[in-house]
Amino acid sequence: MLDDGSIAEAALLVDSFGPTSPLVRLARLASPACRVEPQLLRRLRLDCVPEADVSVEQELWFSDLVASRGQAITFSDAVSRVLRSRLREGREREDATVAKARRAIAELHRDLPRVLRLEDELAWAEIYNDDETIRTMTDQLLGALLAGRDGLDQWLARAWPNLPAGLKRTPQGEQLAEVAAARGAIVDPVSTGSHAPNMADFAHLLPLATVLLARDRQTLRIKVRPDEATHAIDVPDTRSQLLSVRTADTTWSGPIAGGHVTTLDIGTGAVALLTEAGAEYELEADTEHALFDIEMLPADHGTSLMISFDDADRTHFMLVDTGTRRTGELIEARLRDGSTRSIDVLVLTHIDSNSVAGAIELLRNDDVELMINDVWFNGFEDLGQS
Amino acid sequence: MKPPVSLADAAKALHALAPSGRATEIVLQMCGLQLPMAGPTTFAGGTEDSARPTDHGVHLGSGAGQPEPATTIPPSVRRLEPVRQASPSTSLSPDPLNDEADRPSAPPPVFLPLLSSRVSTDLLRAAGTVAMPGDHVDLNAVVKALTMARPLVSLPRLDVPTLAAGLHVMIDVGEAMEQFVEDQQDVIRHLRRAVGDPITVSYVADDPQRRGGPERRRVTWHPYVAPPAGRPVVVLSDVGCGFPRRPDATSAWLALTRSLQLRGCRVVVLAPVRPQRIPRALERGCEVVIWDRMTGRKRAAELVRLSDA
Repeated sequence: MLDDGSIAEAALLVDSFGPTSPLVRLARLASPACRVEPQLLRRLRLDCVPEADVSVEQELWFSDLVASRGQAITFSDAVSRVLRSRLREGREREDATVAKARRAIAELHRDLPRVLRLEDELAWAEIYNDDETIRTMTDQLLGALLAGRDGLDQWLARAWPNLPAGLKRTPQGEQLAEVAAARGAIVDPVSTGSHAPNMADFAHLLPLATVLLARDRQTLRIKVRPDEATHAIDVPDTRSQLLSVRTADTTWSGPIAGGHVTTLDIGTGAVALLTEAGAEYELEADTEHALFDIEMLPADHGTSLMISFDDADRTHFMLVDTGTRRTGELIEARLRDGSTRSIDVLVLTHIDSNSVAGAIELLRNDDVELMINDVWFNGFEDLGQS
Repeated sequence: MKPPVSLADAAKALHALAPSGRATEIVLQMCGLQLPMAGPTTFAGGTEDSARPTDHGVHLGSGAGQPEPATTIPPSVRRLEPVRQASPSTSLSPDPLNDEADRPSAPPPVFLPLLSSRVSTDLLRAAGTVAMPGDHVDLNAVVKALTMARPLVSLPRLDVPTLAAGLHVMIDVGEAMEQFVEDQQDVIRHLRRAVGDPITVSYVADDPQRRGGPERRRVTWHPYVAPPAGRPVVVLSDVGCGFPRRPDATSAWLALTRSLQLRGCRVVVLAPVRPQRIPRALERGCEVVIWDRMTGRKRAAELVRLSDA
C-alpha cells in the first residue's frame, strides 16, 4: 500500500535530481504513461523539454526513479504518484506542454491493448480532474469484467496502486478493489461488513478460500483451526468473505474475515450455508446429538414409542406403551442383549390390549422387570399423585 | 519393457485431459514437481519485466471456472461440495473494452532519430571517407623523386577522399545502449544508403575486444577479429561514458581505438552522451561525434576535412 512514508521517500528521491531539472521535468511528463518506451521518451524530450540533451534520456532510463526496465521503463508506484501529483499541480502553468505530452503518449501508445490505453487515460483524467471520464471508465472496467475479459483481474491487481482516488472511492471502485485484492493487490482495508461491496456479480471471478467449520451439537463455529474443524467449505476470497447461515428458525449473514471465530447457535437440524458466489452448502442435521430421539417400535395394530435422550452421564430411555405381545418380546430382547441398557420409565397410557400386552410380557420376567426403573400408569394411584 | 514416460508426455496428457487444479497438482507431485505458491501480483517478470504489461498475465479463473483453493485440511475434516450453485450473472453485452472498435485511426507515429536524416547522411558518408590514391598523377611527387634521382617504381597518385575502403561498424548492444536499439538500426540503414557495400557489422557489448559477431544474438559471437587495415570504423556506443558510467568499458574502447589507429583504421564514434563526459584520451584516439540533435552538418564537414589530413 502507498503510505505516507513511501510517498515522502519518493518525493525526496525525485527532489534529489533537482525539482526543476530537465530529468525531473521529463519524468513528470512521462509519468501518466503506463510504460515509457525509448521512442516515447525521445518524443517527450524533443517536443516538451527541447533544452535537454540525449544524456537525459539515458540518465532517466537508469535512474533510481525507475522500478523496472526492459523494452520500456516504469516508475515505482510511489514515484509515479509523486510525479503525477506535481504534474497536476503545475498543469495550468504549463498547459501547452502538458497537452503536447498527452498527445505524444496517446499517439505512441495507439497500438497497445485497450486496457493499457485506458490506464493512460485514467491517469490523465485524474490530472485534469475529469471525474466524468473516471466514472465512465470505471463502468467500462466493470462491464468488461462481467463480460469475462481475459486477464483483466490480473491487470487490476497490478495497476491498482496508481488508479485515480476518484475511482477507488465509488461503490464500483470498491467492487474493483475486491477483484484486485483477490489477485494480490494491496488495497485499503474495507470498513465494515455492512458497507462491504456487493460482489455477487463478480464472485465467480475470484479465487476461492477454504473456510473451516466446527459443528459441535447445536453450535457452529466458523473459521476454526484445522485441528478443531469438522467441515470445510470454499468461499470467494473477498476481503470481507460474506457468508449466510440459514437454519429452520433463523438466518444469519455477516463477514467472516479476520482472525476471530464466529460462533452461532444452529440447533440440531440441517443448516444451509450460502456464499457470495451463489454456492449453497448443506450441513446435515445432527442426529447423533439430537435433543430427543423418537423411535416407533413395530407394534402391529398397537402403539409403542421408545424416546431417548442424552445427558452428560448416559442415554435415558422412556418407553410409551408396549404394543402387542410381539412388541414386548422385541423390547425384552433389546434389554437382554444390552442394546437398550435399561428403561428409565415405562409409561402406559391406557389399557387397550394393543398397548399393554407387551408390558405383560415384559413384566412377567423378574430380571427384565429389574431393568425398568419406574412405571407411570394411567391409573387412579398415579393420577392422584400428579 | 515399458517405454519411458517423459515430462513432455505428462504435460501433453495434462493439457489434453484438462483435469481439475487438485488433480493437476497430484500429477505434478508424482513427477517430482510442485506448483508455485500464488503470491502478490506485482507484475514481476517477463517482459513484463517491465513488470508492466501486456495486460494479459496468466490468470486463474476469469470466465473459465475457479481454481481449487490451496489450503491443506486434515483428513478427518469433511470438505463439502455445493448442493446448489447459482449461475453467475455474466453480462451478455459485448466487452466495452473491445480493442478493434476503439483503436485510433491515425497513422503510426514517425520514428524520431537522434540525428536528422540529412545530417545522418552527411556525417556517415564523412565517417566512411578516407583519402586514397585516385586517378590523377601527383606531379609534385614525380618531380621531387626525379630531382632526387630516385627511381619511380610506380606513378604516385593524388589522394582523393573516397568511400572505396568500405566501412566497418561496431554496434554496442550492452545494457547501457538498450534504449538506442532503433537508433542503431536507423544508422545502419543510412549507412547502406550513403556508403553502399561493402559494410561489415560487428555486434559487441561493453568490452569490444572480447567477443563480437555479425548478429545481435550472442550465441553467434566469436573472439574479436580486427577489420582489414585501413578500413574506417564507425562505433555506435556510449563507450562507457553514459549512465551509468563504466570506466572499464571506457578503458576497453580506448585500447581498441589505439589498436585500430595502429592498423591505419580511422575511428569515428557516435556516442549519445554529453560532450563533457568524454575523456580527452578517447578524443585523441578517435573522432567522437555527439549523437544528438545538437550535431549539425558542420560536424560532417569537419570530419571530411580531417579525413584529408
